[in-house]
Amino acid sequence: MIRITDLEKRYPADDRRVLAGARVVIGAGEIASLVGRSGCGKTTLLNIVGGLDTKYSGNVEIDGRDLRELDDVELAHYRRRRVGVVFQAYHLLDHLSCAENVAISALFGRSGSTSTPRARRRRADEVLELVGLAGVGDLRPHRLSGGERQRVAIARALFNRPALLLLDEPTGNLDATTGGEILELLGALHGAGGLTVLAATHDPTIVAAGSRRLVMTDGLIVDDPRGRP
Amino acid sequence: MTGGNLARAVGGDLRRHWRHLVAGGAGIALTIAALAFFVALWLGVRGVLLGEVFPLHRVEVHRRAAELNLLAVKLALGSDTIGDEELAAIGGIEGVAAVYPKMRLLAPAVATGGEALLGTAMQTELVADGIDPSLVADRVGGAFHDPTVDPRNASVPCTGDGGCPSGTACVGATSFRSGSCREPIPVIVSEHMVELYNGAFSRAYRLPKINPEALIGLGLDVDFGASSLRPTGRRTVRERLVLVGFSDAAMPLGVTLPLGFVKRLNRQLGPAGAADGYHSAVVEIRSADAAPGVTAAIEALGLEVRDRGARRIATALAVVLAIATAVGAAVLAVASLHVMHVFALLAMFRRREIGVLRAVGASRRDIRSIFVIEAAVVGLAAGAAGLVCAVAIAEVADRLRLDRLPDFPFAPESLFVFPAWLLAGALGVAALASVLGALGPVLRATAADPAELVSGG
Repeated sequence: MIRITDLEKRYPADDRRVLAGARVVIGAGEIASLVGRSGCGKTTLLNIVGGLDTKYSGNVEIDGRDLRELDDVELAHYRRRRVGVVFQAYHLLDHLSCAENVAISALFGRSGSTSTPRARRRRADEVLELVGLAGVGDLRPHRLSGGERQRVAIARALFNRPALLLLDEPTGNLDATTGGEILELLGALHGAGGLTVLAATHDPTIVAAGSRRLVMTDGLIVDDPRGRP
Repeated sequence: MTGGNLARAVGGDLRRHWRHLVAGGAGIALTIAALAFFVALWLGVRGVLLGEVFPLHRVEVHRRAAELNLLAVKLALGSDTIGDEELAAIGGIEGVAAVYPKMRLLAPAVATGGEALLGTAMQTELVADGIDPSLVADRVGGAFHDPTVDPRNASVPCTGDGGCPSGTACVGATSFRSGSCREPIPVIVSEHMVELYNGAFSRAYRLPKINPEALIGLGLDVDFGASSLRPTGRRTVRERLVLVGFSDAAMPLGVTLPLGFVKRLNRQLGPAGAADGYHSAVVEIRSADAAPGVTAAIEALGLEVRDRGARRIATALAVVLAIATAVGAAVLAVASLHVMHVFALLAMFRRREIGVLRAVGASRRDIRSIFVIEAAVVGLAAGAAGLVCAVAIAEVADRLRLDRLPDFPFAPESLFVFPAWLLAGALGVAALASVLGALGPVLRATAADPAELVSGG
């Protein structure tokens, strides 16, 4: 479960406040979509929940543990094992193959079922097949289309079987057909494993597919079907 | 992060960025090459100067007797010799490896010979001293020993050299009694004597210069107790002397004989008490670093250490090394700044990549480990390249010196010494400079949050 309380974030460069005391509780297994105008704080909120941004005030609890209590190594472990993040711009590494990109998180940490190169490759191929990209493991990302790259990014996020998937505009750079395919994929993944999904999106089809719609305005969640927590 | 994964990550990065890293390491390689070259040259020159020309690990100790100046005459007051007890005391000083007593020959002597060298026989007064044969064993081996105490040498009677086996001479034969065949008395001389001969004597008398090695085996007949300056009225002892080698332990002008032989001559032919004490002693010190302490302890015994300039040379060399090290450190700092610049650029280029790695689970320590090990590898490779250059340049310099420059005294085969500690130290310094250069940019790059890094903020 995710519990966000009085979350504030200010960028010191221009003293702009992007989060102004946001509060929300998202239960395990929910698919929640964050909607709102550009710059309202959706991506910032995802970054903080994903442990990618630590400079904020307020509280973010994941399964009862405040992220602020985690040191750098624990936070890295949280990002590696508990969360999968899909960036709007994919952020794949062009010097690595698709399989290496998918399995990159296994380079870090000390244990797990993917500690050997062969096990990593097997798991990477498995996840690539899950997102419909069987056989592209040895290709470099620049050889793929935008939709395929988005799937590789999703495969990377799913590599460690996370409990929480954070998606930033997962269909933002895709045409309607490819976007629909991605949506289908997310639905299948959620159905198969009870994954909690939080997606920042402008895409009404994703909003419609989700179980809950959160509306953000000026750094606050102003509309939540469950009301203010 | 496991060692294997770390190695994989570092290997991949090195392959991908090798051009930038070579550019970064070039400055370090050049600096290490220059530093190693000059330190090796310094070590080589220091070894020759303090090991052979002005040996710091070997000092000569003597007793300075008070003297009374009476117009042109100096009158010695008290003894100027060192006794066995004092030798034992010196031997007990910490840092002293061995003590070798020396004794001057206190009887006149006249040498005759030199036909083979000069074309005509020469007669000259001979100045000599005696040293412990073990002092020069490493240079001339077993040939320098006292044959008069060897029992094998008294067993073959003779009346002339013709009746003796090869390598021996008939000693002690007169018209009235037979002598015995025995090896001649070995002598060693200082290399300075040969230089003096080649530099001044041969020119003045228009004689050919000589190769020192060709003089080995040269013989002289010496009448100990005799003098060509004035009659001594003493009995004389005739001996055959043969040159067996050269050593800087030999007296500068004169010949050096085995100590036991000189002691016996002094007892037989010298004034009363001439064999009771030694005129000096060579003290071998375990290391040059122990020299100051040993010198002070010897002086505390009331003896004097004869300094032929070693301490001044050692100080001058230390100053030269300090200056060279300071200049080298400054150059290395500049090279380190160059590495810093390269790693700052790499960290900037790889900012998004670092952000992605952190986002998928790399800790700050993981990223720092990757960069630091990359920097260490670059430093080690640059250091190794620098050392190869230094050794190659030293080899070329040695060959040029041997081909183009005339030979000079104490010239070693190589002017450069590359001990293992210098090689290991150079690699360590190179790696350290590279890591220190990379540390700042790496710490800055990992200070930011992943979100800031991937967004390009």
